[in-house]
Amino acid sequence: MTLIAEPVIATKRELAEAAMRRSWFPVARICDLDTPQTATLLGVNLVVYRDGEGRVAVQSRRCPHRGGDLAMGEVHKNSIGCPYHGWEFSSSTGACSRIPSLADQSKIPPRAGIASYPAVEKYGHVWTVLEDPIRDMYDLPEWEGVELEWLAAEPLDSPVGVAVSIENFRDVAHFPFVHKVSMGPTPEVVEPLHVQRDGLDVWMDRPLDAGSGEWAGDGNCMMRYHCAAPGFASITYHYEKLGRRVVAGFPSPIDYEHVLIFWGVANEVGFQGASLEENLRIEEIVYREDLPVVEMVEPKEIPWDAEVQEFSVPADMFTLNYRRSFVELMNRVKDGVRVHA
Amino acid sequence: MSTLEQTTIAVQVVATRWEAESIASYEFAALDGSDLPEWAAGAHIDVHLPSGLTRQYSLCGDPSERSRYRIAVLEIIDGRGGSAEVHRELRAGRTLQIGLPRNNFTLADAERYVFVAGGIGITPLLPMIRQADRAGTPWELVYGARSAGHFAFGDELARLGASVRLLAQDVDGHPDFAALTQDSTGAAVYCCGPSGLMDALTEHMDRAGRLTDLNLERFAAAPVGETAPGDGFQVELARTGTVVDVGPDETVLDAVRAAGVDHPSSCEMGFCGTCETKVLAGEVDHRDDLLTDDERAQGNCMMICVSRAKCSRLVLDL
Repeated sequence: MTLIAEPVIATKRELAEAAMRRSWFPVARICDLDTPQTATLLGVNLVVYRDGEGRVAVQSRRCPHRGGDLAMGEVHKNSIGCPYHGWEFSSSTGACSRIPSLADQSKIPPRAGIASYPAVEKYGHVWTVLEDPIRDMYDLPEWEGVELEWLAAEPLDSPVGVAVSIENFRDVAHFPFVHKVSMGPTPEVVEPLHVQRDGLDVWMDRPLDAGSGEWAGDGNCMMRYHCAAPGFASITYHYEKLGRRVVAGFPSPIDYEHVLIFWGVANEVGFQGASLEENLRIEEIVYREDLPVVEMVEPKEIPWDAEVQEFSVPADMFTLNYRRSFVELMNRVKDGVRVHA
Repeated sequence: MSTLEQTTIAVQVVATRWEAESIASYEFAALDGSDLPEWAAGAHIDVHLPSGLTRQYSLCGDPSERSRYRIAVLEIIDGRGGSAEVHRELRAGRTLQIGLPRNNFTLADAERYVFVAGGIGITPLLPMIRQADRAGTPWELVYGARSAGHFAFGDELARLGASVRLLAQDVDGHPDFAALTQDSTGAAVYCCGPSGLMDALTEHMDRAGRLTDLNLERFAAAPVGETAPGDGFQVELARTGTVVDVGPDETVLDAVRAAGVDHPSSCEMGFCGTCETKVLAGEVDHRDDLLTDDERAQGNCMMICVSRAKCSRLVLDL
């Protein structure tokens, strides 16, 4: 076979970061949009707000005049104004639309604008993507035709990467150790996991017997564990007697090794079980048991380049499949874009 | 994060029945007499045996019968001991723990079904056949077994009608996979049986471009390390042009390492994906547990700790 000149191969870590810059992440809760919100996604400082006409905007936060923080600014009908000198930027394009100090508005410097990013309202949150997307917004087949009512939780700060955070959400072998307080004794041995994967999606079904836990009396239920690379994890509980409820986590990378975990719960309209508030309260107790353990893991993100040796066992089949789907996402970057060309 | 769960049910063996040569069926009912959890055709349960062994068996009764589960077990004399223990220990009256039904082999809607069973592989298919029959969906069953004495559930199948073709291997030989593939055009194919049967059917369906119509239930992961890895072959390392011999008892990983390639690995049993390697040419004999059927069919990557070659030389991006 013939070989062309050896290309410069990016590390998997670089591919992972590039892939995330082209994937959707939440940057704010919809319920917080009464005032402009501050967000940081992979080092990019953002402001998220709803303009006077109801349009949600995700834009860069720094005023290009003298660096004012637009998240402290005032929202107008279809623009946001800088708190420092009142410069206004269009909520749809980011172009500077008014400079109050200027007598002649035709003299606005033509390139004085802020970057605008896509904004999608879904699952109680505002989602955006920094660069040309390589995956669609998350859309789960098991929620098709199901009307879900969402309650977005207070986001949780966790100094680890997106994939470590998702793997915690997806792990099934840590219950008897991390959650022995909230869950009581649970089996240590993990049964063979029947994981399915298709492209960027990984899922498995597990039965839930109500047992004697917090939700005893709710009857039997099937749980669909679903996650999608890079940053989506959900459990859909389908109770024989009550209907469906959901808990979902969407860690959003402030930087490569530091996430803000946006998450929430949802109930199917007409759900007969506990209220959204009650489900959120219990899930948060569980989540807060994870955080102190997970934030101390080393390294802070999956060692994609095998820079640290890890050993896996069959109980890790779900997270191993998630890693494989993340690698597929990286390959989309590698195949479509000349990284380090 | 997730939720507290209880995953076993205490049951009692309420009936056993000799179904065919070396195959016995067992019916379980909840110790407290309550209904058992719902299940769908294709589901299986963990059976926790008295010795502490856990084995998975397909449910082969009727899902609408909520008070009982039925499994059928082929006694494998030289196996890992689970089936022999079932045959030895599970008598009517015995109590034991079972897991909740799980299903990764579900019957999807289709215009028509072709079921292909080999030996004890009839078990997950039997409730599927019943479901298809009740729904009025046309179906056929091709059921192969070693001899006439090895067909289980013959009377139940006979009651289900004439779409059953029994092939006794000692008289009829192996199924004609080419004809089976051709005749099943437009149908969803569900197959369970020995890996030789499933591999052969997969190969024919693949050749016909119909892998997506094929649904398989494997009772065990493809054997790793228990069988001889097969014949030797060569791998060409594309980055240097080096050609490395891989002996019959050697893994590709060991061979390329011996040739000086520093390559990561972790589980070395084919499930973690750490040693994934890009394949530039050649046909792979996939033996891992991580890749999907589509990825195997694409053939552009392999787990070199367990997978091998179906050809004399593989070219790897190493």
